[in-house]
Amino acid sequence: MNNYLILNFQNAKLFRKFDKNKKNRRTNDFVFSRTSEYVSRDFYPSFVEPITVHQISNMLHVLFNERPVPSFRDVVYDRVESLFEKAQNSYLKIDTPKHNNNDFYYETMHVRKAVTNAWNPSPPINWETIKRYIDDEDKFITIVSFLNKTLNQDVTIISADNLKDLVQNLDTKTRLELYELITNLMNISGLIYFFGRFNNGKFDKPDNSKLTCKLNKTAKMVNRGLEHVAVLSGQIIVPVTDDDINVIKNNSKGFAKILDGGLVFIDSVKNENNIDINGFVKVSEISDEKTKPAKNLII
Amino acid sequence: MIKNVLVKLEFDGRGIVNNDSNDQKWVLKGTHLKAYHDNVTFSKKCFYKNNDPDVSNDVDYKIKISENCLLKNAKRYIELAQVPSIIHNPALLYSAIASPEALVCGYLFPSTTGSITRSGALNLTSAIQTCNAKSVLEVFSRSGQKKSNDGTEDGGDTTFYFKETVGDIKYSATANIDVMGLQFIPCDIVFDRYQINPDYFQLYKQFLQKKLPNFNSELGYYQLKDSSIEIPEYGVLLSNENIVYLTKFALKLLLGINIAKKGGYARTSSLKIKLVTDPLDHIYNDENDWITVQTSKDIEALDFNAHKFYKEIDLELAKKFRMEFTEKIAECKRIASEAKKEKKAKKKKSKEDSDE
Repeated sequence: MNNYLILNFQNAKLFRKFDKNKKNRRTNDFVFSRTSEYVSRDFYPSFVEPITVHQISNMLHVLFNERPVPSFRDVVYDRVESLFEKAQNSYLKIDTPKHNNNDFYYETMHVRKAVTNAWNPSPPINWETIKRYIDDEDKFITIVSFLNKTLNQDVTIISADNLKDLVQNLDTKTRLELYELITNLMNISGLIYFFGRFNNGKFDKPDNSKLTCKLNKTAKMVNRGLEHVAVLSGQIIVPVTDDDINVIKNNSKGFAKILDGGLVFIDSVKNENNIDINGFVKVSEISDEKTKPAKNLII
Repeated sequence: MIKNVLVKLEFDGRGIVNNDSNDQKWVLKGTHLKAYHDNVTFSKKCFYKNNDPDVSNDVDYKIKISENCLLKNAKRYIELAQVPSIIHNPALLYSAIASPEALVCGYLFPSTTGSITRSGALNLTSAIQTCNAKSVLEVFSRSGQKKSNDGTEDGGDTTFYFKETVGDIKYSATANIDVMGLQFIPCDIVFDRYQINPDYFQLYKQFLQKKLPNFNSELGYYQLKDSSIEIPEYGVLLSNENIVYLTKFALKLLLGINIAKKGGYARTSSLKIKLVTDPLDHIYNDENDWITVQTSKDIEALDFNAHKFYKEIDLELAKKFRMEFTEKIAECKRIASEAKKEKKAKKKKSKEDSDE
């Protein structure tokens, strides 16, 4: 008689939005790839169905003390075929109800956003930020000496904001000298924007944001943003053999995760006469069709 | 030898502490929380299908506190480390990630020069309402600036808005402390788990020695016991004493959750744990073997040892495996590059054909 492992999952978060043509919804967000490149988030496909055989297979890999295998990129190790087969023969039921447009309710949550998404139009600037931005002791001293001489005081003891105001009140000739000095020092053009760029015969308004766009030095790396997420819960019924039960007893940590942060707990082991698959879908019947990228964008 | 720790949490509170967007108004159309306005603040909720034929609306709900909100409260100090002055200073960064809070709750420090990320060993679900408290939409007002400062115009930005409120409320949540996740700090890109830069290990070790009891682990090659993948992973394996310390630290974090917001609060009222030695016997739905924890002293009094999920691999053997692995990577890269070239050539050819 076959045995089945009954698993309950809760709080599985599903981040994905696509249109009726199964194309990812456009987003301005970028994500870090494994090689630390920025890639447009809408470039990455996701599965059309919320949970497919791939997620269940990976969950089983973790439950059986094996390494999960990414679904969307190649790795040097292969999946355990017997576990993938087990996933295909499993049954899935998602309890979370669907609402409008036959989709789940997507709640709003705070997420951390990185680098290019975390653009802050008016970040506060202080001397430490300026020093980090310039990232060169000689250049820093040259600029401070020029400002000390021009403003006739030690500028490092006044705030960066006040310094900006004082520079704005200088005459055009002196400001152009400062402009030229910064240009000649090379690779610190953000300071030109900080003091007000000379454009079409007049000075623009100062712009703090250019000083915080140097990725490795001064960027506001992690800001908070908003994201929409559906939270799913349900049950999975997995066929298991006596050997599998032994593996779980001896080597497994007894729980796994599914989707983002979804906790999968063992409920019980039942034989085939005691399981009820009403309302469940066989996992092999769930399509693993992927969404299409909104736009091919790799930066 | 415990393999993980199951946790049942209960929270007492008053008022709403976790809000959602007003997109909820479309789901709540048939309920007493229906709103015709945009200026509405709802609580976070779990929705259920209402199977009661006597009730007109088909949606039922329970108020919840998301696990992000709970975790944010638990790991508030590591959140503070997300500033450039810490991220770009190795000493400050490694001091932050060597803290017990970072080791338990995980972290993510993205960087163009190699992001470091650790999955949290403390896993939580959202706290769901367990009592019958009913929430209502109340009207509030918000003072705003007058449009004219000289008194010529009386208009201003003072507004009325709706906000969901509730009285005394109870929640419950489940949590889990992953002993396997706690015991290993990998610094290897093989399995995409780069939690520290191995070049900074000596710096990292200094901080760990200050923050963990008797920390004396070294970098080495480790492999999951009985795993079919024989690729050793480079990293640090924590001792049993350190894992016990971190597990107790995680329990203290859970016991100390206290979310205080304007107009509401929620705090841990009860904490029960189950030390899992046999994953099939010690299951969540079984009422036996739960230990009630009320104070930090109860946590300190717990006596357990952690199951060892990893085995150390001899350096020579590890080198051999790594050599095979490097060759395999080179082969994969060659195949991928050839496939890419072939695809490009095919595309070029089809373009030329269509032009003709």
